[in-house]
Amino acid sequence: MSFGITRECDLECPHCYSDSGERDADELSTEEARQVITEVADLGAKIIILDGGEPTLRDDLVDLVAHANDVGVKPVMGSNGMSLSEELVSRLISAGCRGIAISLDGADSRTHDAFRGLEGAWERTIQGAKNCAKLGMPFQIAPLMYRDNWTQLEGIVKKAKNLGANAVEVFDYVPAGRGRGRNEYELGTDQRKTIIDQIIRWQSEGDVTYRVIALPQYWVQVEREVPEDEVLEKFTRSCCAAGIRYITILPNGDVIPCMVLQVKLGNVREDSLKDIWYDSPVLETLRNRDLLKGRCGRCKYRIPCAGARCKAYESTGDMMAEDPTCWFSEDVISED
Amino acid sequence: MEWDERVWTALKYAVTGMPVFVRKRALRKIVEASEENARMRSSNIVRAPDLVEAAKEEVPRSVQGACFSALREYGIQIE
Repeated sequence: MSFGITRECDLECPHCYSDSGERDADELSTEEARQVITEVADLGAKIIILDGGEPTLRDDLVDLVAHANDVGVKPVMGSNGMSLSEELVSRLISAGCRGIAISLDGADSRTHDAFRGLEGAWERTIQGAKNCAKLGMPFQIAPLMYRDNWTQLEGIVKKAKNLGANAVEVFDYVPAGRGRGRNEYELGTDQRKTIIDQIIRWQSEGDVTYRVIALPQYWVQVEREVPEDEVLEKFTRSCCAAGIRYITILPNGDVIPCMVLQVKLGNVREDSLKDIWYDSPVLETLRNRDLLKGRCGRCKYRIPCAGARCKAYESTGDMMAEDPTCWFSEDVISED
Repeated sequence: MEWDERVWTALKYAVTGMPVFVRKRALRKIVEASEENARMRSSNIVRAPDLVEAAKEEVPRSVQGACFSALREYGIQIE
C-alpha cells in the first residue's frame, strides 16, 4: 500500500499525479497517520510506501517510519531526493526505513530540472542518492518516461547503476492529477515498444532489477519473447495491481485504488481500511478480470496484464474499459 | 512430472512477483513439494491443491501473502 503523507512539495512537475504543491488544510494529523499505518499492518500488508507530495517535508516523517516498523509493516519511501541529507538518511535508517525510490527524470540536469520546474533540482537529487549509497540505505531510481525524455532512459539507467541503485522503476506517463488533459507528454506506441525492448534486453543482462509501472504490456512482451527459465530467474512481474495488491491513501485520508487510478473508495476518517479493502464494490469490480471490456476483456493475457486501468479510466471514465494505448493485435491477444 | 497448464502459469505468475534473491530456492522447493503431493495421491499431474499445499509449506512467510494473492488471481482457491 502507498500512503501519501503530505501533498506539500518543493517541485512543480506538470505531470504530478497528486497535484502536489501546498499542504492540504485537512491533512491527516500525526495521530491519524499513525492510526492509518496501524490499520495497514492489521490488514497484513508487508510493505507501506510513504510518499506524497514530498514526504521529507513532513516533520513527523521519521516518527511515522518508526511506527510502521514497530507495528510490523516494512516502511519504504518515494521521494524527489532533494532533502535526503546524510543526517536525515541516518535517522531514517535508524527508524527502520528499508528503501527509498528516488525520482529522476533526466540523464542530465537540463532535462530533469526543466520538467521538475526547479533549477538545481537534479544536483540535489543526485546528492540525495549519493547520501543513501554512502550510508547503506537501499534505493532505486524511478524515472517517469514522457515525450521529452524517453531517449534518455539508457543514460538514466547508467546513472542509476553508477550511483549504486539496486533497481530502476520506470513509469509510463499517465495524464492524471495535474497532468489530466496534458496528453502532449504521452509517449507513442513506437516509443513505448522501444522502451520495453530496451528493458527486456537490459534485464536479461541482469545487473539491477527493472520494474515497469503503468505499462503492463511490458509483461506480455516478456512472456512472449523471453525463455521461461530466464523469466523465472531474472524478470519481475509488472502488471496493473490497482486494487488487487495495492491501494493508495491520500494525505486527507481519501482512499483510491492506485495513485493514477483516482476513483474514491472511501476515507479513513469515516471508514476502516479493512472495510474498504474487503467491501468496496469498486475494488470488487477491479479484481474481477472477467469484467474487463473490449480488447482487454477478450485478451488471453488479461490476468497477467489487465491493461493499464488508469489509462482506461482517464480516457473513457470507465475503469474496466480496454486500455486505449495497447498495441497488440487481435491475433496476439487471442492466440492459443 | 506433468503440470496442469493453468497451475503452472499461476505458479510462474506468483514466483515472478517474489524478490529475485528468494525466488530460485522458493521455486525449487515449491515444485518439489507440489510434485511429491501429486505422487502421494498417485497422480502424475500436478493440480491446484498440490500447489496450494506446497506453497503453504515452502513459500517464505515474508512473501506468502503476495504469493497467495497471485494464485487467487488465477482462480486457485486457498483456504
